[in-house]
Amino acid sequence: MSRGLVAFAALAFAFVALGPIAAMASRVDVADLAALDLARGAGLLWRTAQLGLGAAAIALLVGAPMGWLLARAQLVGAQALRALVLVPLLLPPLVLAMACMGWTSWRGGLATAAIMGVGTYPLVALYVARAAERIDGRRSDAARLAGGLAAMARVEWELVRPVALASAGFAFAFAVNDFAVVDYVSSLGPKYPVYADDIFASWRSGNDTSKAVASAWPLVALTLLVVVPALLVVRRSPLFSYEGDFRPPSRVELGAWRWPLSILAWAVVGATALAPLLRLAFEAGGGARGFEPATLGRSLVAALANGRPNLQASLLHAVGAACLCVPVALVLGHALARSRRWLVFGTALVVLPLCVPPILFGVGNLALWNRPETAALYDSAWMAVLLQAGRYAPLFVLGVAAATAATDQRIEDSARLAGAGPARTLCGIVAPLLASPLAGGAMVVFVFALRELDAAILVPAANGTALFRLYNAVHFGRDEMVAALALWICFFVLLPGAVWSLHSRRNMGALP
Amino acid sequence: MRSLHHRLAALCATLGLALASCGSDPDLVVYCSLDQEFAEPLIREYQERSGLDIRVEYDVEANKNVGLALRVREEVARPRCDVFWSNEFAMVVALAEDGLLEAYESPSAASLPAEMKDPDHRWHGFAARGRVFIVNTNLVDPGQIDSWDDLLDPRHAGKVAMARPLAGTTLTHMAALHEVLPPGEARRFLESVDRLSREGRLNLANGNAHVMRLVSEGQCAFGWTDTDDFHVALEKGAPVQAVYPDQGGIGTMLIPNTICIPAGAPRTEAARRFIDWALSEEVEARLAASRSAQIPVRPSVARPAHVKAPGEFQPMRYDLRTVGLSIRARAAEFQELFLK
Amino acid sequence: MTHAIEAVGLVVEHGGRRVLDQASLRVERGAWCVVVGPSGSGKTTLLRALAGLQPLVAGRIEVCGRLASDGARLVLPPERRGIGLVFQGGGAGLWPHLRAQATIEFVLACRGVPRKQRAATALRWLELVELGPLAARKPGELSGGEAQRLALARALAGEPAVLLLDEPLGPLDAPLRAELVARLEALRRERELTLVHVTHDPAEVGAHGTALVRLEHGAVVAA
Repeated sequence: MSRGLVAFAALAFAFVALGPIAAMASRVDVADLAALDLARGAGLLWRTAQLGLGAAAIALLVGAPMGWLLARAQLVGAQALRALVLVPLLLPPLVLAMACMGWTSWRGGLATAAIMGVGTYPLVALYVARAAERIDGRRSDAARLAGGLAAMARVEWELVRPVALASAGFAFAFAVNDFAVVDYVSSLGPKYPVYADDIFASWRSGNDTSKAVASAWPLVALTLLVVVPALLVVRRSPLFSYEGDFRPPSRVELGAWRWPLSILAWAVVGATALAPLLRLAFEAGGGARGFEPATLGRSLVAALANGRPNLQASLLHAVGAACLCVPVALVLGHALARSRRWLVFGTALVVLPLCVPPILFGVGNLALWNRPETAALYDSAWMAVLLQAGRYAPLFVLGVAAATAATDQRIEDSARLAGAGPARTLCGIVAPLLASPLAGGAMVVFVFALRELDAAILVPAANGTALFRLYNAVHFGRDEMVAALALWICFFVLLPGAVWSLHSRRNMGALP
Repeated sequence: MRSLHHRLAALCATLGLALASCGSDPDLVVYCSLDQEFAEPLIREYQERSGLDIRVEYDVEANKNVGLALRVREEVARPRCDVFWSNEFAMVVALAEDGLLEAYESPSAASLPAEMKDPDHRWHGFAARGRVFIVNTNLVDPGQIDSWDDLLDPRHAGKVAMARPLAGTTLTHMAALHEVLPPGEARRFLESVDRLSREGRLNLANGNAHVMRLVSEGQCAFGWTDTDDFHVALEKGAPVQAVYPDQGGIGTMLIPNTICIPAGAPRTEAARRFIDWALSEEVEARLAASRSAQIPVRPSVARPAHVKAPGEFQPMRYDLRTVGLSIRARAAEFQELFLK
Repeated sequence: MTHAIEAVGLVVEHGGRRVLDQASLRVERGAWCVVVGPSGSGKTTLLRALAGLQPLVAGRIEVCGRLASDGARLVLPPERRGIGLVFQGGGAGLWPHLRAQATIEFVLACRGVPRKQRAATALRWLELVELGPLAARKPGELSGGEAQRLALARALAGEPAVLLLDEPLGPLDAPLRAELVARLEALRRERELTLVHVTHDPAEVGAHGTALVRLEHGAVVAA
């Protein structure tokens, strides 16, 4: 890879994703670091870690078998299941919590962990499915010949276990950085304060950026400690490569278990993906006061009319961020995967924007860009695009890195030997080869940008989005309009994935 | 392949133009933490009347007021906001004390009560919300509830709610209690709240609107909320009644909107005209008549029957500036108490 | 007279283990140099080092009289060495998204062949390895032997001065193997092409081999 290209991409990433963190860190007053109440913080951190572990365990318990079944067995309605299993991950977490709480009165720490687990189990399912699809069929066949299905399952579990545990690590990271869901779910019953609560409260109650940033480091450290090794495990999992001498595994015949397992899988997907959407549709159609399809239609039309500028802004920012990320993620992700020296440090740097509490990332953007020299940029919608790109480019870069690591290095070597320079190799060979992961990465950025709220709060250009409007409207109860607007947001969030799954022959091809 | 490249280039160019066009320069920038639902129609009307191109940036409920206050603070090197319309006063007082606001003596403010105005004219208070108990009449007799400490009554264990006092009007309210109650009493009250919440006997909601919903839906019998939230519940037909607590005691707290001009605001003249309009009796009357049922602070302002006048109940006597100045210390104190 | 390949004292390490240990090799222009050695002796690594794909710890490589690698410093990047490489395995390193014809056209584009001439030239190269009828297929749609022939055509289409072959004839059946060896020999003679051919079985080259090099534990023990 050309050093110039990599340097350019790294510089772009540094400006957009790491610059705000540096600007934010520069705000910390040393006195605030010294004054941290470590005993209180340790208590909160422990409770937070417990919540994260609970969520990760639930995500693993539900996600790992689901992922394996989706990849290796022919369940009834497998195609639809594969698309729907992603839904809980894509929905804004608070919308998911609100919908779930609409169905149950279960509260407390365990309920919170369960909702977090429900929101993140698709991560585990995705990674496990992807890993299970890449097990060389000859390995599974050899195990089956030696000891039947049980032996095969044991061998396959051994092969996918590192990836399953690593993806549970990602679920952990998501859970420990959230506070809105925890606060919402424990609004009734025993209160369950967590560490992210404290950071947010420091910022919110006293306008105290320095204190908030200072108090954030233990949580950032905890997240990095889990996420970086998890990423390295995923990268080094000894499974396969895209092409070359790979033999895909054959489908497992479930026999008499096919229907019971299909029903179970549909029950899980129904409860976690369809129930929240149905709940929103129910409320948009009149809810407990009397559901009527006509009301649902009217609400949807009215919400679209009222929220059109906000939805347009959301879509524009999300598409802009996704497009902006493509070249940076391609170059940087590829370079990261092919570099030995920079692997650990580079991964830690790339993942950093995801490990910083979002509100502080917003503060950093404000500190970095709101200055006379960049005034025109700061006041334009490009600022919202930069914010979203900076926050979610890491997901894209890591996805491309994972996909690159799984491709045969000799494919690129051949291009170099054929006389193609780095840029031509990148555009002519690497990019088409990684077309699916690139599309997947762009979709991930689009979806996360569309549902982003916390980091966008402080950046004026990012304030006109549909999610902003939704949260403002939610203040006065979940009436029809709010539920209808939430449905529209869900529609746009789910649209690219739905189109992809309808038109793609390799469903999981877009996944890292 | 070539046509694909052309199409991609055209897409990028379109996107770039679309994004660039979103950043046109307005005549006035207003940061507004009054709920978008109420502020938007009023400001739109003013926009049409004045002919100004106004860009309004609203806050989200989760960060009510603080997000915009922080932005005013952070943007001090290059102010973008011309008018900051806050739905409470504490953060505005803090901005004023830090020298981040510009003085302006609006002619519309002449009729405001003295306690609603900064002596140095850096901010003005108007259109208040009351801190009331919302009571579900199917679950409890409103006559049984009359004071702040009813929340601790064992008879209502598990059936009462308030927002966690770490932000918003609940933080301001609790800070004010520390000023008006005898020393130590407010602190003891909050310690009890914390203990009961951990035991599941008192519910700490994630905002006043959430308290309103819990009570409206019958999940709680009563709880502390703001009058605007209460009126929304009433309008939706929920079986609720408002209790203005501590009549004959410390009184019911009123929290006014405040409006101010950040120091160095780029379009001061338009900002002043906007403030003259916002502080007018007409706007206060419109806010009283709206779904939020804001309580006019001027007795002369017309209001619907369901909006009480200051004379119809006993308001809490407190100094806005004192409470505003204490807010940061109180917030840190409450944070240590509730987040451990 | 300059040599096609002159490698002196090559050292390559993988995870602290020396894969090449002071390996030296000199190959004359137009030679067919056969490299043999037991598994793990460093044959593939030697080819990758010569191609510039494998960083050196120490040593020096000249290709056709031009300094290509000097210790850890890569003086000539792989694409400017004039070297082609056919990887070990049934068509390993083929570009899975490109059809056979597009694969060759890509190489021709890299060489600056005008767009109008590429299709016909690509087809000629494919016919050379008897893949003309399969020009529209992607690598995934080819058998192991066909894929290997495509890899060979791709390497040849770059018109390299030196062609490195890493066990290229393994997946082919005996008649095709003999046919390809004969074609390689013809190309070698016509264009003074230099071949460095790694194999387990020196007999597959027959009498065409002009030099035999034996690698053991990363060092050249007989040349």
